[in-house]
Amino acid sequence: MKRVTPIISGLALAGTIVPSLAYLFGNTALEQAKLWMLVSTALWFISVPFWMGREAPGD
Amino acid sequence: MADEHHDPVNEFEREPVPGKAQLGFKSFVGQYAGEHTAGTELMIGPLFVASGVSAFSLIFGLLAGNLLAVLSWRFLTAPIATRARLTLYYQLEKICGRNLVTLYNLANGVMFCFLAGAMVTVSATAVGVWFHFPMPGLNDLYPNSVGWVVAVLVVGALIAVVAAYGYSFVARIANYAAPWMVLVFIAFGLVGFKEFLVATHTQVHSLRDVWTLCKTSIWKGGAPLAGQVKFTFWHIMFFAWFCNMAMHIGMSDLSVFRYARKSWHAVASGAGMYLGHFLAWIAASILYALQLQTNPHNTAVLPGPLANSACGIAGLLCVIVAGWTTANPTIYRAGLAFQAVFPKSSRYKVTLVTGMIAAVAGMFPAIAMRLLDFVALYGMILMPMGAVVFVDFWLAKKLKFQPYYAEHSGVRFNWAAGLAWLLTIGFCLWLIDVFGHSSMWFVSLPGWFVAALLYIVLSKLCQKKALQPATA
Repeated sequence: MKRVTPIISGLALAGTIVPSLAYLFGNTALEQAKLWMLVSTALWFISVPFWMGREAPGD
Repeated sequence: MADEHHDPVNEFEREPVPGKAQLGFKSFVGQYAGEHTAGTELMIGPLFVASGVSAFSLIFGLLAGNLLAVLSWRFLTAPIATRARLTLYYQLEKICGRNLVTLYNLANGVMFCFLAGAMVTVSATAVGVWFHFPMPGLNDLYPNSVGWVVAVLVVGALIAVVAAYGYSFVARIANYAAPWMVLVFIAFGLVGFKEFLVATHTQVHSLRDVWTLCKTSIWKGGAPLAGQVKFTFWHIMFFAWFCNMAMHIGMSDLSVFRYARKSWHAVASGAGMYLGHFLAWIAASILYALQLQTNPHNTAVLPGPLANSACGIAGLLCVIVAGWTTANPTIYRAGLAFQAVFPKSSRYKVTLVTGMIAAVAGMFPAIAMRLLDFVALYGMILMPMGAVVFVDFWLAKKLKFQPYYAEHSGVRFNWAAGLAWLLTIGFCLWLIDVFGHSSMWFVSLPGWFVAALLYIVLSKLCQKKALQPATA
C-alpha cells in the first residue's frame, strides 16, 4: 500500500493542475475541468495520509 | 502572509538547540512553501487590483520585494538564529526582562487574534457561496447580514474548538494540504487568465501578447477603487518586503531558524515568497480583475465566490482549508502568547477564548478588507524588538554596553528596550500622520534605524545610571 499510494497521490496532484492547463489551451470545458479537479482533490486527501508523515521544525 | 502550518515543538525553549536536533535545507523549503500559501493570499492579490496597481508595478515590485524579504531572513534573522540557537521569546527575556516580554507577548497575541479573524473571514466567504446570504463589500466595516454573522461565528467557533483540542490533527491536515493548495492557487491563475482571453476576445501568440493583455486588461493601473490607496511599484515592493516583517526583521523566525544547520538555509524562505507571495497573489489578483472586467460594479473581495467561479468545489475547499489550517496555528500561538500573560489559566481555556475573540473580530470585514493596512501595522508594531535583538547581539559589546542586560542585572523591565520599542512605534505613527495614509507601508524602514539608535543611546544611559551607585 505504501508503495502504491504515493503514485496515486502524484497522479492526484497532476489531476489538480492539468485540467486548468487543458482549459487554458482549449482542450476541455471549464465544467469538465472543475469536475476533474474535485475528483483529484478527493484522491489526494484519501491517498496522502498513507505515506506523508514528515515532521517539521518549529518553535 | 506568514502562518505556521507546523506543529509548534515545545522543545529547547530555554536552551540552545543541540546539534542532533538541527535540520537540513529541505526541511525549511516545505515549511515555508506551506506557511506562505495561506487563506489571506486570496485577499491580498485582489486588494492590489483594487489599489489600481499596474502590471509592471505588480510583477517587478513583487520580484524585488520578495527578494528583499528572503535577504532579510538570510542576513538578519538566520545569522543570529544559528549562533544563539534560542527562541525569540527566550532571547528577548534575556535582553528585556520578564515583564517587558509579557507586554510584547500581549501585543503579539492581539495581532495574532486579528490576523486569525481575517482568516476566519476568508473561510466564511466560502460558506456564503452555499447558503447565499449577503456578504460584505469592499468598504464595509461592520457585518451586513445575520447570515454573515452566523456563518463567521460557526466557522470561528469550530476553528477555536479544534485549535484548543485538536491542534495536532489540523497541523497534520495542513501538511497534507500544502502541495495541493499551491497547485489549486496556480489553477486559479490559469483559469482566470483563460477567462480573461474569452472575456476580452483576445488571442495570444507570444509572451509579448500576454504582457500586453496584462498591461491593458488585467493590471491596468490608473485610479484605485473608491476608498483605496493608490499602489505604485514602491508600495508593492515594500509591502512584499515588510508583510512578514515581524518574522524576519522583527526576528520572530529566530525560533524557526535556530534549528538550521547553516544560516544559508534561510534562502528556503524563497519557496514561500515566490509560491505564496508571488504566484498565489498574482493568481488571486487575476480572478478579481476578471470579476471587475465582467461587472465593474461588483467590487466585493470575496475569496469564496472568486474561487468557486474558477475551480468549483475544489476551489471552495481550497478557501476553507487555507483559512482553517492557517487560522488554527495562529489562534494557538495567540493563546500561547496570552497564556504567558496569564500563566495560571489553562492553555485550553485560553486558546478557546482567544479563538472566540478571533471569531468576533472576523465578523467585522474591516480587518480583512483592510488587510494591506493591518499587515503594515502588524510589522511596524513588532519590528522594533527585532532591531533591539540585532543591536544587542552584534553591537552591544563593540559599543561597550552589556548585552543580555536583563539576565545580567536581574531587572524585570529593561527600560532601554521598552522605550526603544514604544518610542519607535510613536515615531512611525507620527510619520504616517505627517505624510499621510499612503506612507504606512514605508515608515518601518526609518523606524528600524530609529529603534536601533534609541536602544543604543538608552542602553548606554540606563546602564551607566544603574552602575553609578556601585562605582561611586
